[in-house]
Amino acid sequence: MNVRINLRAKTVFELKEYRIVRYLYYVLIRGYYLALLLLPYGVISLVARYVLHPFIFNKETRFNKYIRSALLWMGGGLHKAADYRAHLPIMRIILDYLRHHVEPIKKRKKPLIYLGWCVSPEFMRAFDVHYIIPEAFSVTGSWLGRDVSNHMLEVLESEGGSIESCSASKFAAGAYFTRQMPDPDLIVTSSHPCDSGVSFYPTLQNVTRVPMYVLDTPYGDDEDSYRYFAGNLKAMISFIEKNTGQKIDWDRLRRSCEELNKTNFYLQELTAMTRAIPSPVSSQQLTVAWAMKLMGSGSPHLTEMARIMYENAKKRLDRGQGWLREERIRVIWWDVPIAFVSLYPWIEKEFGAMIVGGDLMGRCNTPYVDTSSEESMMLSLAKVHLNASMVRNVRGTQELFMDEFEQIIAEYSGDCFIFVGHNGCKHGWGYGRIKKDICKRIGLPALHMSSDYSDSRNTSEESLKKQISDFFIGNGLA
Amino acid sequence: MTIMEKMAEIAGAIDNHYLKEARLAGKRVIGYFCSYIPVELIHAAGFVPYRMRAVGSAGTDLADAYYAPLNCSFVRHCFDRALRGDFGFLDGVVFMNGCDHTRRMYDNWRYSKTGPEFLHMFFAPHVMGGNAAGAFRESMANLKKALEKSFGVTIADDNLRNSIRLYNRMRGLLLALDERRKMKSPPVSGSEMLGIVMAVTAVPVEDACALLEEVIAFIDGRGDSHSGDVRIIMLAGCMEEADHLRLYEDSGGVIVSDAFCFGTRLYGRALDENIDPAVALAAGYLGSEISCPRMMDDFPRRIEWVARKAGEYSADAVVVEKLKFCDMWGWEIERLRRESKKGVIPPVLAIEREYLGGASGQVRTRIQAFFEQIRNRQEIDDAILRSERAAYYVRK
Repeated sequence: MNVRINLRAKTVFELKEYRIVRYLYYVLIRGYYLALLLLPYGVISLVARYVLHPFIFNKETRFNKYIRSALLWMGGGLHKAADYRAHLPIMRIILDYLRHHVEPIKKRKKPLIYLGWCVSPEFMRAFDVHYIIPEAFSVTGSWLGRDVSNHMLEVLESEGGSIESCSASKFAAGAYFTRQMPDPDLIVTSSHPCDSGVSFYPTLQNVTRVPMYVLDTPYGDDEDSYRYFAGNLKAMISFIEKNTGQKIDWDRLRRSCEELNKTNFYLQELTAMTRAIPSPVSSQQLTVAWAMKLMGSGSPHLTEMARIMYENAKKRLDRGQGWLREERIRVIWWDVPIAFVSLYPWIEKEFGAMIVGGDLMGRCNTPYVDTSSEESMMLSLAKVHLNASMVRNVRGTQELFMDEFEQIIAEYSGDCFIFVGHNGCKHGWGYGRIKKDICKRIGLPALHMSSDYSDSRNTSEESLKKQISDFFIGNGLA
Repeated sequence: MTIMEKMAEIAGAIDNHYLKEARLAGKRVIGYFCSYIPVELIHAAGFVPYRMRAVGSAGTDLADAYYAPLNCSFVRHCFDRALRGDFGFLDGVVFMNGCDHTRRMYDNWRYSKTGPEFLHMFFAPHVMGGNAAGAFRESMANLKKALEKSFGVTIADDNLRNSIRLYNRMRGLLLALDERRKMKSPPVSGSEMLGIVMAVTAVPVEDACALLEEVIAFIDGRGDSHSGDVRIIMLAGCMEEADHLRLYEDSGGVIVSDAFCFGTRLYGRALDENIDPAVALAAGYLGSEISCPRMMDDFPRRIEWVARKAGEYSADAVVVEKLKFCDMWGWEIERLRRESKKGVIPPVLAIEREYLGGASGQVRTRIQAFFEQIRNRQEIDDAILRSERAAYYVRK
C-alpha cells in the first residue's frame, strides 16, 4: 500500500514500501556513522553543540523533522566529546539491526522472525535467522518526525485497530499495514508486560498467517515461576527449530550471554553511579542503552558502548564532577521514559535537572547469566527475561513496582517524582493511589502527567514542558 | 412472581436470599472474578462460590481515588462497591490476572485494607497449549493450599469430583436452555438468558440447578420470548446489563447466542468426571468452548466458534461490545471485522461503551442503522435466491 502523506505545509510525498527503513539505513544512520568515522570527536561535539543543537532543540519544524528525534535520542547535542565515542558502537548496533529489515527486502535467504520486544534477541543470535522487533519501529520510525508517527497510528485506527492500546503496538501495526516491514516467517512473543502486547500479537498473526509462539509469563516472582518460564523458553527453542529446520547453536548462545553479562555489568554500574551527587551519568545514556539492548542484546558493540559510557562516567565520578556543570534538581522518573525524547535534554538544559536511579526502561538491574551448562543458562535467561527493564516491575503485583520505587527514593536522593503515565500502560494508571501515598508519606513532590510516546495527538511536547516547568516552579525547585 | 422475574430479581442485586440462607446455615461465601477460576475447588472446600459483579452501582467516586479515568469502568464500579462495604458478606475473594485492570484490583483491594481477609490471586496462563495445563494445575494447587490454610478445611478429591458433577449438571442445564435459542422463535431472550446466568452464579450451585429446572419447565410452556427478525450473536467481556441488551431486542433483534463472561464462556465447558479431578479441571477450563481474547493463541478457534454458531443458530449478524480502554476487546474487534470482511463470519457491529454508562439513545440509533443494513441485505439475498431459483426452475 502506497500512502500519500501531507507532511505539514506543502510538502507531500509518497510513503512507499519500506521507505522508513531505507531512509534510516541508507541515509540517517549511515550518515551519522560516516561522520563519526571521519571527524574527530571534538569536532563532532562542537558541531553538535553549536550548529545542530540550536537547530533541533526547541521544537520540530519542517526543516529539522527528519533528523531531530534521532539526534535528540543521541543526546541532543549535550554530550561531551569523550561520550561521542560511544556513538560509534551505537550506530553499529542500529545498522546491524536494520540489516535484518533490509536484507529480507532484497532477497529472503534466511527465515525472518518477528520478535516481541520482551523476548531477548540472544536466542536469535543462536540461529541463522533475521529478526525484527515490531515495537522497536515506534522508536526508529519516529525518527522521521511526529507526522509519520501520527500517520502510522491513523492508518492502524482506520483499519479498526484498538485506539486505546500502547502506541508502540499501534505504530508497529501501522508500519505493517503500510508495508514498512517485510512479512515474517514466524512470530515469537510473550504475554507480558501488558494488555497491549497480549492483544496486538494475535492480530499480527491473523494478518500474516504464520506460526506464532507465545512465551507465557508467570505472575509470581519465585523459583517456580522462573522454572515455568525456563520451560517455556525451551519450548520456544523447539518451536523455532521445528519451523526453521535449524538447530540451536548453544555455543553462540553462550557467547551472546557472556557478552550480555559484560554489558549488564557496565550498565548496572552506570545506574548505581547516579546515586552520587552530582550524578556523573545522564539518564539519556541509560535510555539509549536500553533501546540498544532491545535491538542488539548480546552484541559486542553493545558491550563496547556500555564500557565507553562507564569509563567516562567513572572518570567524572572520581573527579567529583557531574554530568551537568550545575546539578540543581534530582528527579525520580519511575515510569516509561520515552514520553518525548526531547524532554530529557530539555530538563537538563533548562533546569539543571538530572533523572537519577534510571527510569523504568533505562534502570539496569538484571541478573547475570550462568553459562556453565545449558540448563543453568536457560534458568538464568528466564530470570533475565522476567527481570528485564519494565518487565520485572509491571507483570505482577504492585509490590514488584513499588518496592523498587521506594528503594530508589531511599537511595538516590531525589527532590521530586515525575510520573509520565503512558496511555497504553493501564496497569501503571491502576495503582496511582499507592504511588501518590508513598510520595505523600515521604514528602516528595509528585507530578502525574498523561502522555503517549508516538502520539502527539494525546499530549503535545509543549504541553508536557509547560506542566514540568509549572511543577518545578510551583514546588520551589526552580 | 414468575420464575423469570425471580431470576431477574436475583440478577439485579448484589446479595440475595439464597446467599443469606446459606450464610445462616454457616456456609462461607467466596467471591471470584473470572471464568477461568475453577469454582469447583471453592465448592469442594464447602464454600459457596459467588461470581463478582457490580450491578446497581451508583458511581465510582471512591474507586477513582485509586484508579485513573482510563481504567476499565466495570473494575472501578466493582471496586467502588467493595470500598463502600457492599461485599461485606464475602469471606474471601479470588482474583485473576485477566487483564491489567483487574489484576490491579487485587493490589488496590489489599492496599485499601477492604475486607475480607482472604484475598488470593489465581494465575491463569495466557495460552492454551504448551506448558499451560501444568501451570494451571499448579495455580489450582496454590489456591487449594491457600483455602485449606486460611479456613482450616481439607479439600478431598472425592469432594472435588462431586463438585465437578454438580457444576457439570448446572452447565448442562444452561446448555439445554441455550439449545432452545436455535429455534426459529427462541423461547428465551438474550436479556433473560443473561439474567439467568447471573442469578445462578450468585446462589449455591444446588439451588441453581433447581432454579434452572424451573426455568426450563417455564420456557417450554410458553411461546417465543419476543418477536424480532435480526438474529444476532453477541460477543463481549463484562456484560451485566439486561436493560442494555433489551435495546437490541426492542429494535427487532433476537440474541440467539453469546460469548459473555456471564454466558457461554461460563457454561460452554464440560469436565471429564472419570479422570483425575485436577487434570479434568485444567483441561476443561483451558479448553472451554469459547475462550477470552486474553488467550493469545486461540483466535483461530474463537473465529471458528463464531462461524459455527452463526450457522447453527442461523445468525444474521455479530455484535461485539467492548468497554472503553479495553485493549483485549479492542484488538479482538479489529480481527473480527477483518474476518467479517472476508465473509468468514456475518457482518459485525462494534459498540464501545462504559459500564452502566447510559447513552442508550446513541446506542439505539447505531443498532437501528445496523439492523436496517442487515434487513436490506436480507432482502437482496432473498431476491438473488429467488432469481436463482427461478433460473433453476427455467433450466429444469
